[in-house]
Amino acid sequence: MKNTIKVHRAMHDMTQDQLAKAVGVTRQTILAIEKGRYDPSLTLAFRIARYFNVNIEEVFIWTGEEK
Amino acid sequence: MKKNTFYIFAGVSALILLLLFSLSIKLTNPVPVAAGFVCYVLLILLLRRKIDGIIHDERQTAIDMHASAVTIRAAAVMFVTVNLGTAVYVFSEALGFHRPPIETTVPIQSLGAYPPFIHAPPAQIPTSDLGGFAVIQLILLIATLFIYAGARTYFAHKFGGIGEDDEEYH
Repeated sequence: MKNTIKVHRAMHDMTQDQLAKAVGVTRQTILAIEKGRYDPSLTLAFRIARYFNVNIEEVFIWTGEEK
Repeated sequence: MKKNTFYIFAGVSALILLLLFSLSIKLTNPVPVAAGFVCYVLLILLLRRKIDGIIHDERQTAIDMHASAVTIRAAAVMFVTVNLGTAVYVFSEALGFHRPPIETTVPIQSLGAYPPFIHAPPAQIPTSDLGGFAVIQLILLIATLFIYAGARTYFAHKFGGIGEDDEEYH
């Protein structure tokens, strides 16, 4: 699953740390999601999308089955 | 409470636990170290809640779950192996497999035995043997802790977040 968190962060001029605090996770978790190493739960995905005030599909893009 | 304060407190408490262990050995009474260990665990669990700034999010929960699953599997194999071996040792007499007589250099007057002083095998497993079994279990428990730490490091790396800091601070 791809995501555009980094783009949205840049648009909002935010650091990973600020986004992490805003959605209640650690900075390492945001880093791992951005790098595609960790797929967030549906709750966290919605929380991130809602924070950027966009639909979840605009932040997380389904690319098919995981390897 | 700060994280470092917690670690110092945990370290000092562990040293006190070691003292209780040596006291138990001296008194040949397991109660002090057993009671001390239960108090230690309760104290650590209580103090962990008081640490400031700890965020345990879903990624860490996922890491914990995967590491725990691996540790449980590995621990089950190790403990079943040792316990099966020990069970055979304990039940061998009951099953009819007699241990060979033990030679001793100490004359046993009550048995009227003379050199080479052979006496019958003990009907029960000596306490010292059970102590040896406890030491093996302790070694296995410590090995389990190492397996957990290793698995946790592996999954923390697999789920990202370790050594990949590309944050751009403003």
